[in-house]
Amino acid sequence: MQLAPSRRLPLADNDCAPALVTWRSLAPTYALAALATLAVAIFAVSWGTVHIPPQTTLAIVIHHLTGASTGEHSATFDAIVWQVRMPRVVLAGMVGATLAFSGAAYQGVFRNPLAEPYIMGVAAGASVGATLIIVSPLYVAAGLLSPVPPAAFAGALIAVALAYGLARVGHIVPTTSLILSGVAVSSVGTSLVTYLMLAFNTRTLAILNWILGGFNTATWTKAGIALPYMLLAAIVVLPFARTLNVMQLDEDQARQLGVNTERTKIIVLGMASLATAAAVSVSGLIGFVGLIVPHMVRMVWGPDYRRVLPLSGFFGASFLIIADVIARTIDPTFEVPIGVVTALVGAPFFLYLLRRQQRPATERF
Amino acid sequence: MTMRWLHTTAGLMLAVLVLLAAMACGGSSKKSSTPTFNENPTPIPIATEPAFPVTIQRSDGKALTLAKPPEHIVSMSPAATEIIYALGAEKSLIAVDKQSNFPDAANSFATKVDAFEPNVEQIAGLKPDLVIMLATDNSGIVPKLDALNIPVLYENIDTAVKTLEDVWGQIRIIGEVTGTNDKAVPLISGLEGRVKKVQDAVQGLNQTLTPKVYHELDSTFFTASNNTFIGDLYHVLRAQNIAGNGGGQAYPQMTQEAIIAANPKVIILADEEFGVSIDSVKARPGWSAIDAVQNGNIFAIKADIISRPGPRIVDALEQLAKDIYPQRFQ
Repeated sequence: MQLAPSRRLPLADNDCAPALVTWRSLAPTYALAALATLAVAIFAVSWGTVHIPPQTTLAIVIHHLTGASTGEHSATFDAIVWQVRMPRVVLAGMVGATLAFSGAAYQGVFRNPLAEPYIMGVAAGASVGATLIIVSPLYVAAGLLSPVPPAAFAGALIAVALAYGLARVGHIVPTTSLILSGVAVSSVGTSLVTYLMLAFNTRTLAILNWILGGFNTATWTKAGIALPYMLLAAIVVLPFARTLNVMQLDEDQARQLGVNTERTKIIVLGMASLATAAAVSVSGLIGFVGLIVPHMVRMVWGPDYRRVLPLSGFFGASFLIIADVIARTIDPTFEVPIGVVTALVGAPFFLYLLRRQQRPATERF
Repeated sequence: MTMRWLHTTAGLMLAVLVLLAAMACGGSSKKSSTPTFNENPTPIPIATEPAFPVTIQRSDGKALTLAKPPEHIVSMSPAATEIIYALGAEKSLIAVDKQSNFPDAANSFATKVDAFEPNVEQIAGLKPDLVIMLATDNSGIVPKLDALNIPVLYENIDTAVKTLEDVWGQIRIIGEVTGTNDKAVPLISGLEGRVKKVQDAVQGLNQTLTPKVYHELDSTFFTASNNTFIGDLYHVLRAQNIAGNGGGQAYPQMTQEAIIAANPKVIILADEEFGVSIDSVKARPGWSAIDAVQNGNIFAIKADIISRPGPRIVDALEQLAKDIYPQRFQ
């Protein structure tokens, strides 16, 4: 493993760039990351406040996945493992992967280390959509067909489209304008939510709960609804990894090298926003993951987007699954807000990586 | 970036708003294990005649002294409004907060104040000679009114109201400051009498018949612990609140698996006005393993009556008694 990644970009310097890195040569890295994520997920399903023996957990999961009869289990254990814990772990993994993957994509397009999945107004737009439903008579909080997730999804996409449209000058969308219009759209959305929260103060708690996010109400339905968007984004954005590498130079230079930067921007940002909107609509706003996980990956595995994008996905999934395990088990019966956990666990780890990277190489071990 | 501000603010506000679940929940900290009601309640040692000047120790430790009965009262919480009406002191009421919707007459005030984002200029402009705040002062309005020398009766619902006994205490205090002690005494003994009836009816229940209850405040499984006046209702009913002492929190959020594993016999929904229905609870994945869901023992109760520490809390108690013990209460 390369522990002291070159600060220079692979394509910027042919002498020391890992020129022989091909998609194929990266396969073992991906496989290892996927296995690690799977191990984390298995641990998370068997770990909970209600003690269920690991063999029982495994038997229940196998029974539901394969239909094979694995003996008698109490209805309570079955419900807890299959209807409560599994969807919770799966959804946390999907959302963590999406946020980190999208965060990496956003950082790549904007060439800005502070870019995160919410920068173009996804979070604010989703909040407006969700809040409008929560304060309306349509509000059905816990039903399977709750209109809140679709409204949040729609709100997020409208906000991103608005930010994109406002930033466009002719055929060109300058990234600086895009960030600024995203911030502006976000503030409008945020003020609107604040206003609605105060104007309909019997619903304030419901709105805040939605904004704070979490996986306490995760269901298979939610996971099933969000999955297609997330898969689509991953499939479409991954092939742009090399293009993103080139774009790290300078947009003009990238263009001279034959990169269609405008097309890349619209496709990568559009897809990342779509997936983020889906994630936010089923989980609320979970901060930190989308901003920090890609940086953690870069610090350890270097800046090549063929590594950064997929590994951010796997690492983001593991990170959020573990954060959610902590959120639901630190107190035997009660929840801790997941945003608190992601920040409290993630920030020190991130700072540790940052410090380690800043020390001279000789001191590292 | 702006979203992050919202996030932080939301985080700070959450603790606060959890307590406002349906506008007026309350408290934290420990509760004595002694029963709330004595077999023979001792007479309340206060004069039945209005006696001004009156001095009350507020929740923030400051003293409130009123030289004469107030004639221009602003109520900043629905529970206070309900108590004022129950005491017949509404003649002095000049404005109520937006949440005050009971009794009907409370809806007809031309001026309503916002208890969540109070406007100190608006309140001062009403020239009140008493502001009653039976809530948690999240917005910091109390010191602002103090600075303007406007008398404020501040009773922090979180620290001052943890049992039914504490609810009577609030009625007593509002009786004193509004010069209606003579009404407060019979009102409280009437309420105590109704509570006693319920208590008597469940007295003989043996331990195996006392059901486990899950009390839901919202769709993300916030609930009320034993250390709240809501929890005290279940204590009176000899039901076992699955939230227990809430891990030290008055209004904790439970995990679904803990609820399913606790297997409550009865589920009480105080969030029907907030998008939850008996059917939506039945449809929650995994909840079919719960006794209450299998046997149809899910009941909705109006948030307004069960979340306000006023006289109607006894209505809530009587409704819960009928829901939990249908054979014993007709």
